[in-house]
Amino acid sequence: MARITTTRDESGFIREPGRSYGAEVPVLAPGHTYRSVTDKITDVVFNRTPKGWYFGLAVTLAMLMLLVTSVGYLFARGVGIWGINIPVSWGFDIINFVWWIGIGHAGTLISAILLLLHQEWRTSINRLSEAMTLFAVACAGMFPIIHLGRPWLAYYLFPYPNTMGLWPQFRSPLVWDVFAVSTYGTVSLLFWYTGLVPDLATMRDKTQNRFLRMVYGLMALGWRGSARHWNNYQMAYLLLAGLSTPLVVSVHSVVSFDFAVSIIPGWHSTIFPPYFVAGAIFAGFAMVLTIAIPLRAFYKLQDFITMRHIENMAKVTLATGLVVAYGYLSEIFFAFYSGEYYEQYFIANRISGPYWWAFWALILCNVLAPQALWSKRVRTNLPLLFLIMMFVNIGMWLERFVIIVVSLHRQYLQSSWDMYAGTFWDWSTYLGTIGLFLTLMFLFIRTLPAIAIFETRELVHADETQPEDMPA
Amino acid sequence: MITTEYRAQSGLRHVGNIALVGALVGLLLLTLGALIDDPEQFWRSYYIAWLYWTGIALGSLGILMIQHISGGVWGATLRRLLESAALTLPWMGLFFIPVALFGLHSIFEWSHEGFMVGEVLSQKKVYLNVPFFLARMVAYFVIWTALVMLLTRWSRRLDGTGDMRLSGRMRGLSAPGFVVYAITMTLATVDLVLSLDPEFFSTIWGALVTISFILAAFSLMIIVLSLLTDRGPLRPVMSSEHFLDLGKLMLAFTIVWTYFSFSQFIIIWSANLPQEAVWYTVRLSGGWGWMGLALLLFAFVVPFLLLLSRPLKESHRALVIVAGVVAFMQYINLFYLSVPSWHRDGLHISWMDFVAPIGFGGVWLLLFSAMLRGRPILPLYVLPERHPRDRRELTHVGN
Repeated sequence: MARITTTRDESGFIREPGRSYGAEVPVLAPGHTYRSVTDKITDVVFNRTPKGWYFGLAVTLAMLMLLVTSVGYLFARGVGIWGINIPVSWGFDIINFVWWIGIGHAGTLISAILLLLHQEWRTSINRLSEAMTLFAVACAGMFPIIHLGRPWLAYYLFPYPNTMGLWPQFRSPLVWDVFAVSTYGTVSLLFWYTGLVPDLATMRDKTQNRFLRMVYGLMALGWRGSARHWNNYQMAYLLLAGLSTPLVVSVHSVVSFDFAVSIIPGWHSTIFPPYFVAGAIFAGFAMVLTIAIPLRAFYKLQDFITMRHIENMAKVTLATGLVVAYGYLSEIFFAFYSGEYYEQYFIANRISGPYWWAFWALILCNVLAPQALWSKRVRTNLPLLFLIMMFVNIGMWLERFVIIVVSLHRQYLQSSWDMYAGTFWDWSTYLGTIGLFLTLMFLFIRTLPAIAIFETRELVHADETQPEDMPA
Repeated sequence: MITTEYRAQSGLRHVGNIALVGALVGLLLLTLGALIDDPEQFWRSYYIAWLYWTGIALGSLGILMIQHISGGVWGATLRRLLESAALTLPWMGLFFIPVALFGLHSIFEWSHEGFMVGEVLSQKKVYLNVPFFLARMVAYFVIWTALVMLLTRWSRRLDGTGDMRLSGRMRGLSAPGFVVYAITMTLATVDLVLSLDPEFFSTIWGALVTISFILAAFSLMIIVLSLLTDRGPLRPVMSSEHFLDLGKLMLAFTIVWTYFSFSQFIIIWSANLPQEAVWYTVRLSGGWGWMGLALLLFAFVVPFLLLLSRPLKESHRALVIVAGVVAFMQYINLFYLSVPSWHRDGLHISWMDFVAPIGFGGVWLLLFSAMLRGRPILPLYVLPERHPRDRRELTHVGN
């Protein structure tokens, strides 16, 4: 006679035997109180600046100066200083645009979708990854603008009434991009700032410095933590999460349309939207791990960013990496299946043409290296994990190189085939945006709580009580 | 500890009778159609109906593996249903044998000698030829059956022994199993649906058809689950929270299906390349366009708007209606993807297209309830006694 036996653990959840539920590694190290959480997180801001921070900032500031120089020189001389030519009219600028915007996606996914899915492990990494989103979008947004021959006319992209009879071509995905990216930037900023408000009030109350109290106080918008504040706050936060959720998918889908609605073999591919989105999340999680692994070691935040976070992020990276690999395979199979000459030629050219090295390096970085993440031992080995994430960071850049440059350099007309290589200024601009991104990251970590204090305190609360009593 | 037994019989007795009648009447009428009406139409109706119900089994296999990988409360109550649905796969495979023996020429243009000529089509002969096609079909069904057999056998053994390692083993198989599933489904959907128009190709195809199968299977499972809750053995277990989870997932799958379908459409429509735009030209004209509009409205807009409502998702009697619409519209979707390739000059629906899915539905339901019977309808050792977010005592809602 069949009987049903279930095990109920001390927190009231029924657990399937044999499934770990990550229970052995908590999302918050045990023994923390509200006070210890607050102190530990705000100490990163209020303690004396560590020497390592100055050193890091000096390096990234130097890189930022490189960006300023490169863009200044670009504005003086025009895009001729770059390696772009005809037919490769999109080079590093668009590669970098797609690379950066993809990196932002992990932040949105973690903050919006994982919130709606009740994934509590998002809590201590959401602030960091939302900041990352914001800085990545800033870097990304720059590239299409400086790519314009006359960047001071960038506002032509907006549909505004004017006497010149100008109107954007709404059938062009490049115009959709303007709206997609600017919406993305706006909503990400709102989401990040809304999440910060209660923590800014904590900072205001904790600081000893009068001036800082004023600054944090102004930014906290008069937050006092009353029940009504919290009620409105939760509602606003959930609504913003709902608004951000479609953005996770829509922004990179629109970016993929930039390529897919054209007729260039290698660009015109119906798998592009989901495959770009998966690639964006893949790249984004790799970047979160790239930043989180050194950060938690440097500031000793192991209690908050636990191995549970690290492992879960590694799993998401593996899963999205597999989708990306599926995209590569799908392109190859359908080119074979199609029987079309140009479809087959672009795949042959990608695999064994003059840029064969880029394709095979891409396979190594994005397909082979992440397979190591199947092993739990790799997922919990931080130096190795960091190394794999560097592979992914490079691999996702190469992916865009392969898609953009390798597809463009040999199109239908053999007479206009050409080769492409980035010039010094291409590389310096790219390196410069990395400098911008890291500089903003350093400043953020030093001035704002990099981990959500109040949400982490909720975890302390959840630790003590039954989950049924948790706010929905 | 719960010490109740949950068996399917009481909830499914009526379903079995209805299924038997449906199978007999449907298949009888269909056979009659072959004899007195049009044999070619017979094979086409037979094929689409077979494909839809096989797709339900395939979708169930996919959801089963997703459920093993991800865990989650929603999966525990669905697991036995999904296993039973997936177990129909080898049997459904048998129904392809008549098609393979007698029906290929009525269904696949490329199977005709002398059709695959010209610069493009002659190249595709390497892949689209009868022996290779049949070999691939055998391979797919062998692989899928192996996955189903392993997963259900371990699940059954877990019921008997309570051996915790089996749970881990099922999860361990499901992750690489899903990779195999994704690859075989892509190839199979190309063979079974895409190749109906031998010239068309689209890199999103595998994902597009697979998500349609998954969505149809998921909706059908909601219907079965609701039946078993309403007057059956699951009443003490299921709460509105369970159905809320399932409704959310159905909404998510609906959105993904729409997203894939729209992506394919906008990319092909915008580029307007002759070799692929014609696939949509056929489907947007001559009456097929109305079917496309119906799909947009009833496979996306209406379910989407309805499923946004929380009370609707919590009430399984309301949810089941939406699930019915969604499952039916996915049949229309399959019809819309396939049939216009045979009738390029305009809408064509035969009376056999109505009886065939009923007949195969009956057959499938008979197989399904046979698989479900005789085993506890909930997996032992997996079931949450109560949904973790179910707060019945606070709100006094639910049944």
